[in-house]
Amino acid sequence: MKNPFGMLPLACLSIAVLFLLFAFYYPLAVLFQQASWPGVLDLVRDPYYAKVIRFTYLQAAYSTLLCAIVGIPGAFLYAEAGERYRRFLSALGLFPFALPPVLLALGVLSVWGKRGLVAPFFGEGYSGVYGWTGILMAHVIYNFPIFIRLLGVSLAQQGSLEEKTALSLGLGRWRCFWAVTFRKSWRAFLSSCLLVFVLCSSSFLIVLLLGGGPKFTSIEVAIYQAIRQDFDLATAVGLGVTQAGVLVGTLWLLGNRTDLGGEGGSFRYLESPWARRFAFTGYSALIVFFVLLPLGYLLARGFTGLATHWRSFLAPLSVSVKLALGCATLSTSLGLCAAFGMRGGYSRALGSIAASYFFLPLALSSILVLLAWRLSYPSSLGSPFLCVVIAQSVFALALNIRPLREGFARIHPEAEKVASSLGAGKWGLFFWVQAPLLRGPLFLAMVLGASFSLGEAGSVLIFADASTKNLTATLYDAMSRYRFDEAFGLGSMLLSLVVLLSLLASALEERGSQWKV
Amino acid sequence: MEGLRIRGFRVRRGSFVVEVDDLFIPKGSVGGLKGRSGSGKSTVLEAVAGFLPSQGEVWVGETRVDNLRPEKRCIGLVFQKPSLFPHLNLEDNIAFGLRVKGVGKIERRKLAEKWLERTGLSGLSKRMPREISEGQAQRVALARALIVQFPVVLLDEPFSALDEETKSSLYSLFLELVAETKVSALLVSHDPSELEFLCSKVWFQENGRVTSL
Repeated sequence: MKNPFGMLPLACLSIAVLFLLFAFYYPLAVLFQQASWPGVLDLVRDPYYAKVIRFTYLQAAYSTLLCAIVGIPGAFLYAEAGERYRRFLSALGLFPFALPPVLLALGVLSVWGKRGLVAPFFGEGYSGVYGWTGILMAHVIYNFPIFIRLLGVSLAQQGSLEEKTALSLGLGRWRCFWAVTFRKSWRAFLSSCLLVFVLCSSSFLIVLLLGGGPKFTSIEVAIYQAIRQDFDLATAVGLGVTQAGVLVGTLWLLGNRTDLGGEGGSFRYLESPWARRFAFTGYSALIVFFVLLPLGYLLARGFTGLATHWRSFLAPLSVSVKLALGCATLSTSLGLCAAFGMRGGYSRALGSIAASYFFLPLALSSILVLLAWRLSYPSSLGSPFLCVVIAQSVFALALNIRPLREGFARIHPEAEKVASSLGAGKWGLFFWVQAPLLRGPLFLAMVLGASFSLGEAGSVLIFADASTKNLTATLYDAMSRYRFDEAFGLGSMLLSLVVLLSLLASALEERGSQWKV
Repeated sequence: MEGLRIRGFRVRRGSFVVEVDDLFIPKGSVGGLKGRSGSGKSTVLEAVAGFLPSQGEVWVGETRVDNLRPEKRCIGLVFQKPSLFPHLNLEDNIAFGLRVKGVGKIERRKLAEKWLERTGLSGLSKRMPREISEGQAQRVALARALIVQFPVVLLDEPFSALDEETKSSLYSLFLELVAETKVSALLVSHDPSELEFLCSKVWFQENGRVTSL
């Protein structure tokens, strides 16, 4: 179909491309350009920073391994499950993108901390889960759903013909899963591993709050300390370049890996109803104990703090709402421009490049981006509020572009041709066919943008300005001053907001998937 | 002369060229276009409807439409997949073309109800496309293309995905509707028995070239 909108899609795409160019790629280039390479080498050789770098990638590698151990059974059960259990697991999959890390850290401490829920069971000498245990536990709880979301969906979409053939040739079920089914979803497994590795390497607040000392300093924390405490920009740049190089490289490896689906629905390994019930109940119990208990306990414990301090929470709540609205509006508008511009008409390679262009910021953290901004626009970083909105939008754009692209993809070209043949011009086509079908993805993108902004901590902590002191920053503040009553109150407020937004996002995603032509 | 006439028509898709020397379907009758997969049948339909650039003449009655945009040609389209608008219920799907024309809501509803009844779907007006069968969806697609009373409708294998029973009930409905609305219909199909049953004249397409059988 000839494009009825002429050059408009290209113009829209250019707006989104230019935004990222000025807000992300140019500053990143300046960061690399300003780095003194011998300085970076010295930094890497410095015993303290070498330890920081080693710790960063070692904890990311261990976290990835543990996430895979917990996530593969979840992905397997996702493929085996019926619609309701799948919905439950899918909602979990929103965790890494919607749940603020500060809440998870607080939740983990509330249950597993020195004075946590389980402390009485371990006796006097129990010192809580700080250090390796805390970091790994939080990273696993936070990121294992990625395996369900990527690997599980891939397993569920594979056909069953190869499995039937393999079993008929005498292969046992256990071996068949690993040799045939898992092998078919190998790329999705690899993508899950790489994405979890990237997210754990650039994890900031979890390491800051649960690390508990210089022994457990990651690169992100070291950059934050270099900027905020030591005012040592050269070290920050050196660390930033190291981090950006590794993460961009990893994300490049991640690429657009997908596994082709087969026909006939996925193969069901668990035949006996008892085996199915046992597997689903066991996994659910694990999720309830490690994931939902900390959050539920945080919510329950927070009511006292909320009742006592609610007046003092209004100001950070208002900042959070304003930032979330700003980020949601800006990132969704840009996402809409990008998705509209990327719709069809390009070669596969060009489409893939465009997708990677918008996805790449996810590899880096807001701390790195703000560091790069300081170098690129030293005199023009005016309003901290605006800077935080723009910084958060760079990342939110990478998240909300997916539902928007899917929304456009769901508008079937044949339905558009029918509408045109019935007399609908380009604006009729837009208002009567495209816009109503995009309403769901548009709200979903707004919700994702808002959720991201509510939980993002790096940019608000770097600025530490009254205009950007939102719930997350206030919560971090309360935790670092050991005002836990207040922290739990803030946590329950933030968690309620995030849960509300996640439920909304999940419902919108569900509704959107029903609108296939 | 009333009907659809295509003359000296040429569509180029890369190195593949589709040519129609002369094709005429009078008002109130069905013409068929037969050919193997990949022979260019769908390309002819899409180009006649205005979605692909073409050379040559397309006449709808006394009006030459090949220089008009698709939305101005008054040529209805029905695809193999019903392609219903997923966000609209059946009534609104059928009345879509009337809404574009600016027909009032009450009148639209009345006409849509009539067409739902005519196609054996009365009582389903508020159903969403995902809640009906493929055969029912294809009836809605037919009604949607015919309710606007365009002089021409193009059908791209609309019955090929249906089972035999549904097919035969739709065949009779289709013929009745064509006779009632006096539309000129061009039906693309690779099923010889379907073409024989429905069409008054059949053209054959091979290597892009359309010739009269």
